[in-house]
Parts: sequence; C-alpha cells; structure tokens
Amino acid sequence: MPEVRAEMVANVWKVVVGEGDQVQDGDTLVILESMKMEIPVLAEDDGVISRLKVAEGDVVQEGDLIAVIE
Amino acid sequence: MGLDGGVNESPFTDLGRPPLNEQALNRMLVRSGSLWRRIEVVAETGSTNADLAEAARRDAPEGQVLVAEAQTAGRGRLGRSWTAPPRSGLMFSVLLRPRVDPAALGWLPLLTGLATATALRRVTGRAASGDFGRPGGSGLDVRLKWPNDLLVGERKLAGILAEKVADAVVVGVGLNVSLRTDELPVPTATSLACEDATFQEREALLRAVLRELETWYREWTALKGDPETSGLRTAYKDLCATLGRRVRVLLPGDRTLTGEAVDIDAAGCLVVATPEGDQVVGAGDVVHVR
Repeated sequence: MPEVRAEMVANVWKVVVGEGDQVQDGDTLVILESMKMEIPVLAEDDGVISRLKVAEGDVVQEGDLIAVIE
Repeated sequence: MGLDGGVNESPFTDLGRPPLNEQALNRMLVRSGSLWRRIEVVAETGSTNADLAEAARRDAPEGQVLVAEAQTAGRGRLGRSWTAPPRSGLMFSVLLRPRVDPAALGWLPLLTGLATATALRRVTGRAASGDFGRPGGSGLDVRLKWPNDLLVGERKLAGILAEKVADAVVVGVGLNVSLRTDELPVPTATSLACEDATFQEREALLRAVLRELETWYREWTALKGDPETSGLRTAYKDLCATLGRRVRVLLPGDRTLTGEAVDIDAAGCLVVATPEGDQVVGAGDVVHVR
C-alpha cells in the first residue's frame, strides 16, 4: 500500500486528483509550493487513490502523508 | 504628436533594444569545468521554464540556460502571468540538479534572488562610478522581498519562479531592463531604465547574473545545501528588505497574517512575530505595510 509523503515543508497549492481516482506511475497528484518553488508530487505506482490526506491551503511538514495508492 | 503607443516589434527600428548575441554569451560563460554548459537564445517561446522543465524530464544535464527575447506564456506564481515587450528585459531559465539535502532545497529560489540582486548591485554600482565609461546615474540599491522578488524601494524589478522536476529544479528569472513607465504592467513594477540605472546592457547584465549564480550555487552545493556554512543565510538576510518591516502575508487558503518579519529561519522560511507568537511562513504573498 504505497504511501506518498512530503519531502519538505510546503504548502499545498493544487490538489489534482481525488479519492477513488485511478492513477498511473508519473501522474501528478498534488502540487506543493515552498519559497516560490512549485513541487509536483507524482504517483510512483499504478493504482487507485484510496486516501487523500491534504486539501488546498494545507501546510505539510517533511514526511507528512499526502496520499495512499492501492 | 502622439503615437499609438503600440509595442514596436521590429528589431531593426527599435535601436534602443538590440538582440542578445548567443555566440558571445557562450564564448564568455561556457568553459571547461563551468556550471553553464549551453546558453540558448530564442526569439520567442511560450515559457522558458516550461521548455527547460520538458528538457529536465528528458534527462537533460544541469547547466542549460534558455533565454527568450519574448514569451507568449510567461508565468509567475500561482498561475499569474509575466509579460514584457520583446527585448525589454531578461527572461531566462536555468536547469539545475542540486545534490543537496531535500530539506535544504527551498534555499535555491532564495539563492537565485540573492545572486541576481548582488550582480545587479555590483554592475550598476561600477557603472555609476565610471568603470564602463562616463560615470553617473545610480548604483542601484536592489533588495529582496521574501522570498525572492527583487525590489528597488517598494517597486518590483524582477521576479523568480522555480519548479521542481524530479531531481532537477528549473529556475526562471524575469528582469525588467528597458521598460518605460508607460510599458510597466502595474504601477508597483519598475525597470532599470525607470530607476535611472546607468547600466542597462542586457548581455553584460546576464553574464554578471549567471556568474554570480554559478559562484553561489557551487558553494552551496559543495556544502550539501547548508545555508549557514555557505554564508547563504547571512548574505540573504543582509539584502532582505522584509526583515524588520511590518508585513501582511496572504497565505494559501486566503488566510492573512499580520505582524513584524523578524527572521529567516534555517529552512529559508519567513518568521513573523504576532501577538499569538512567532509564525513560520513557507509560502505566501508578502506586503510591506507602513
């Protein structure tokens, strides 16, 4: 059950997928922003988003869970 | 006599806005062992950031520089646009692959702002004291509004936008050089011309910025992104106009934070002192208030 986590402290600028969406390796899940640097967070597996833990405007810390792909 | 005020598109009639010389730039900046590998100048593109992001996805090595004389889809933060008349400024992106601690990556956009501001201060200062001929005009007091807007006073001279693309970061810079007052996109914008900077020769400015960026980037990556040992945090704070100011920060989710900007922390975040305590900001629009 691959977990997608934040690599650094950032704000959630755009949420691109929703729970239940089918995704493939390489799809953009959310776009974070930190210090005027846009950071797309990509799926590294094929599957379905079983959990989406962030909403636009949230702050994530390094290591926070963003999504779970099953 | 009034002209229609339309933008003059022809490079031959607008003698005040000569095109950049790609060959000369490569000759001066690309060396064995230099960070910069290739400098490409295009007459027009959608967005230099988008182009280099595409190159990064195709595993292009670090050190590519793409300069556009005109952009049709220039980007700013949060989907805003960056527009300028052809050859009136410097719009370029660089492709970097920083091998640093991921938590330190946020310093790269700040580093770019610092390098750009430092280069502009040096070049315009030297020009004002006569190093390039007739002295006069202003050495510019270019400062940084957190995170990396280049300001003269409270007016925005340049903007920077970075995008992480897997292990690469594409950093784009938009600098207003010869825009006249009637061409400024908003009243709070400015250009080197509007600030009466002596030096407005774009090629030399680009060389100065890329050289400064190379120096800082090499130092910072050699120290694995450490902002303290590299001197980056100190140098950034020295040029940061936001520190010590009362600020209003528009945060994601349309929240607002008001207080005094007191520090830039180890991660490059802005620390704002409020009645509720210190708040750490990693992303937001800062307004300097009176």
